[in-house]
Amino acid sequence: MLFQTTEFLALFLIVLTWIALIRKARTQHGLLLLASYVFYGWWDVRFLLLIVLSTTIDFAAALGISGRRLTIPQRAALSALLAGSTILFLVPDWPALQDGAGWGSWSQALAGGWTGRGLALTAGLGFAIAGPVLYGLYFRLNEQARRRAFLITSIAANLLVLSFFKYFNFFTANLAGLGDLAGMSIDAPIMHIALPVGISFYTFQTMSYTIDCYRGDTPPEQSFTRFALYVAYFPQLVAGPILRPSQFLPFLDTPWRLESRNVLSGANLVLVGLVKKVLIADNVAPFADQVFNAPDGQPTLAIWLATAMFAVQIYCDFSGYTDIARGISRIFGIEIPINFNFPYFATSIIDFWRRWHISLSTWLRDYLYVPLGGSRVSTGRLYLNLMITMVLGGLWHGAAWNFVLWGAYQGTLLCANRLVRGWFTDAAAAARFLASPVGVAFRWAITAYLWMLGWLIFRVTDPDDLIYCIRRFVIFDGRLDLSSLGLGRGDPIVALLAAGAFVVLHSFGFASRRWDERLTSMPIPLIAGVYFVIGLLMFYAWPAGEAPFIYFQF
Amino acid sequence: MTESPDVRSPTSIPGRDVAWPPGVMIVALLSAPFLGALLGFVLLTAVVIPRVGYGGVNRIVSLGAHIASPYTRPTAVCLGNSVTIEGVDATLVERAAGTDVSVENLAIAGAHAAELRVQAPLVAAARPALVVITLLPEAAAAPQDLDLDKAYAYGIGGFATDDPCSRIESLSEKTCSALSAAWWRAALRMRTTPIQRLNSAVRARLNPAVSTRRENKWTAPFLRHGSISGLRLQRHISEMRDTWLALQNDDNDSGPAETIALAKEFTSRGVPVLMVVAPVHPDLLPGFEPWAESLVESLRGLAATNPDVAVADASTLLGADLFSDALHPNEDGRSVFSAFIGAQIREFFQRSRGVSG
Repeated sequence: MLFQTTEFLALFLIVLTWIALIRKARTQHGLLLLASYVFYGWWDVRFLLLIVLSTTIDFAAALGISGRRLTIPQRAALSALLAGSTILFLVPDWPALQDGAGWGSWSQALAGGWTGRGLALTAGLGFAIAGPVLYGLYFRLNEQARRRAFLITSIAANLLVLSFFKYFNFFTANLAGLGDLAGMSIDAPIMHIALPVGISFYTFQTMSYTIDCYRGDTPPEQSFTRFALYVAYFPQLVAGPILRPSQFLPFLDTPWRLESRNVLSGANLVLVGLVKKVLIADNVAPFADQVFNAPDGQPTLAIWLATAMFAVQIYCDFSGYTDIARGISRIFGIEIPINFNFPYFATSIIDFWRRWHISLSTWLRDYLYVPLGGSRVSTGRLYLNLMITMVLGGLWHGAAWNFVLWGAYQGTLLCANRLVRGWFTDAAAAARFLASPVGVAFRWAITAYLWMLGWLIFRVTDPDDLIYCIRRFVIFDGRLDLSSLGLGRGDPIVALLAAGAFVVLHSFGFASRRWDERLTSMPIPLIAGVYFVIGLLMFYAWPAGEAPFIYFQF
Repeated sequence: MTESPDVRSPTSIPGRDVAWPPGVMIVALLSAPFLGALLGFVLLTAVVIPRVGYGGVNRIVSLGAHIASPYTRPTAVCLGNSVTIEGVDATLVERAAGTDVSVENLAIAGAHAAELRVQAPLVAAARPALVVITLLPEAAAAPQDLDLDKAYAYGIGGFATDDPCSRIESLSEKTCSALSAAWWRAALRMRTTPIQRLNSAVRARLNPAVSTRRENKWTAPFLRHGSISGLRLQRHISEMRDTWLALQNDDNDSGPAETIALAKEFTSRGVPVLMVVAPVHPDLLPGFEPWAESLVESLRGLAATNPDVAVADASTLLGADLFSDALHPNEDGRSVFSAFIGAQIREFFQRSRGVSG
């Protein structure tokens, strides 16, 4: 279910009504959890099993880490939930049911073979049976071993599910490729499986919970419903921000109440997010797509322009999603932290990563970079840590070599940034220049060039096309005619208008204050006027087809 | 990495106190953009569409209106896709066909066999003496669905009155729903018309090599445009080769059947058809000759049993210098292809007169 659909509007209004009518926190949580599962199951009901699996394992593991022994009926209840979910989400043929056909049967469910539901059914039921047994066994270990066993089980289960759904085909295809290089023929199986939407986001979120419990940074959640809501909370479920338990669970301590101040400022955030997504990202996308779908032969100017368009697209698409998620949450009375802080105004790559996808960069810092030793190690090891962190961060985005390359590129830039910063700190005159307005502009220009090149690597998946694009991006080919700019087809004027509007509005927001805050401070009739005009503009600019958010695929 | 922002929980929700109750606030904030969108809809239906038409699919709606309007019916009409739009000058066809023949070029860009079947009943109802259908070798591929914007346009243009979905299997449920959509749903779909207009105007200004078709012209719908060459031409040829190869690799068993069904759409309504395999760029030809031959063969099989069907193969008619890109004939190519079609029309009428005489 996409934010910009009527189905979502209906779901949102239902949830608002629940919050307005129901005063009891536990009932509110239960209903919001139900809404979250409907939201996620709208894509594919079978995906829900993965969420229930992850929730059940991490809930039990965190309690196990803290030393709280679940009673046998409690364990049985969790197992029954897992087994029941497995059957409910996998046995009926839900798409066929939606089309009015009858229920599926056990024989149909089990007839899927290696790539079908039989395997998933076996795995789900296997977890349901093995879980309570393992739970009992772990409590026979000493405390340190028990805590470690629960942590490893939780992390392994999460990574196993993520690897299977996201990286299996990538791994087998590369294995077969390696075999070809070595002169061996490897018959690698290719799975015909859909990537569950947002799996990387909620997997990282649940992993942070168990790790925080292990470290003692957060107490284990005692209520299953509250924890399940933390995992599946629908506004940020499929594209973040990746929430830490301490950023979400405290908001569940008191019942939510609709308050006008939250409704106003939350709605303004939603509006800003929709403008970013619908008016800007979706209208610059065709331009970038047109150039990058067949980049061979495109001149440097076209590659530059298309890269700039993609930079606008990915920022507005992703930060637009975050704004909508934050706005909806704020209306409910939940404050989600920012995920973007004007990253395109960064004056160094280190600065860029402080501003871009903050919830992921802090996650990578806290759960990967620091455990690897962080910066409290030798210089060589520090650079290695940075490279490992960023390469894995790149791979997190998708199972493709261009994402690995993108991560390695960002890692290299971060290492270089640290190195160069050290040199300039030692040279007083250079440091003075870099602090001056001209120096800041110079740093910004260099940084912008580097992240633009990064977006090129991120966007172009075909290796030959990527080599061509990088060559054209770096070396100007001297072609200046407008007709070679890729303006022949696609929607040039709207893309340019949308990108231009973004540059002006974004710069204005950076120089003074965020647009949602500015809107909130306006008189109500003026706010209504802005909403009216944006409604009018959106009517004409809303794309006719479905335009999912880019980060849903990660 | 170490200097990234912290992850502490926000302590309070920013905002400002408002006197309105939350329910009123929500209704007000939801109503305002809806009212804006409503104004947009009223402007679209009352001002934009009547003045600027239906954007990229305007020719389809115009075609429906053109056929339905009272006017002197042409002897022959040419149907097809952009190759026919760019490659057929009705005046030159008339000249080559003979003095008593009038011709119109009713082609729609991107039209494939299934789309031409949607057009068939309305075109046949205009009672032309002959329908000339230009087909690319890809007509031998599996039948395709209709583009959704086009489906809405065919609905608005009056092409859906005889329920095309009951005749054409390749049309999806969505397409069928679009074909029979209520006026307001179709108008909603056409809301990007002003943007499309703006884009095509800018496109034509920035890049004279790209044609902007004359939407309501039925004699010379083409617009003279320059040719591409060198790397860009090679890229276009390569794109077309990839597209056609992908189509060839699909299940193509039903492709010729769809083309034959297209011919029968007209003959069953008492209108003869001349099926012409369009000129193919020489660089694309080697891989597609067998394909073109199989298409011609299956059509000739139909022609052998049905005197209302004639077949002509123009796949090797034009040399590379007569194309403006990988697909479309240039001005000289248009002259040659138009003369070819005219000659075929003349031959068809001579033969049918001979048969009837």
